[in-house]
Amino acid sequence: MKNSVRDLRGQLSWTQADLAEKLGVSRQTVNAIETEKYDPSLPLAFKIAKLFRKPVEEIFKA
Amino acid sequence: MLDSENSMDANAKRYLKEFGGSMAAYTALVPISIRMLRGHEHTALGYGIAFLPIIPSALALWAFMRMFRGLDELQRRIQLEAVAFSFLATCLITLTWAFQQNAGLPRFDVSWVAPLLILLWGLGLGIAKRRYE
Repeated sequence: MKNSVRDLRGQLSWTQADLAEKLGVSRQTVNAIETEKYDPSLPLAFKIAKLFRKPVEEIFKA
Repeated sequence: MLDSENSMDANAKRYLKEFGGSMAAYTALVPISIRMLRGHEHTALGYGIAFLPIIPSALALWAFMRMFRGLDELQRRIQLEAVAFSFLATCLITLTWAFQQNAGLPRFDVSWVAPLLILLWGLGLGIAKRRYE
């Protein structure tokens, strides 16, 4: 699944560690999501969408 | 806001402390129980003495479960993949050994099953972690 997490994080000048802290996950998990090696669960995807104030389908695309 | 990295670090530190303590107690209790067991074989006291090292082993299991519940979703997945690999590879190895016993291999000592599981779990962790890097 494609996602724009890295771009959205970059726009806010957050580090992976910053985003991990805000999401309550490890930095490795943020990295795996950004590199599209791991698709997050629905609750985590919604948490990401809420944090970036975007619809979930805009961030994650099949 | 939850400080996730700190809470995960705290989870890992707590696990190392609890697991390390359990393993230290295990290491101390094994020779003690072996020494105390002499002359008490096949008695209720003997079975009780032989059970002593299992107490810190159970504490290690509890420490692992506490650590596991503190992981995030990807880390849990990695651990589960590693445990699945370890379980299935141990089944394969012990089954292979069982058949090879018919061809003349020495009998497999069941006390090797736990170290084998732990070794393969470590190998499985390495494989699973690489997949998500």
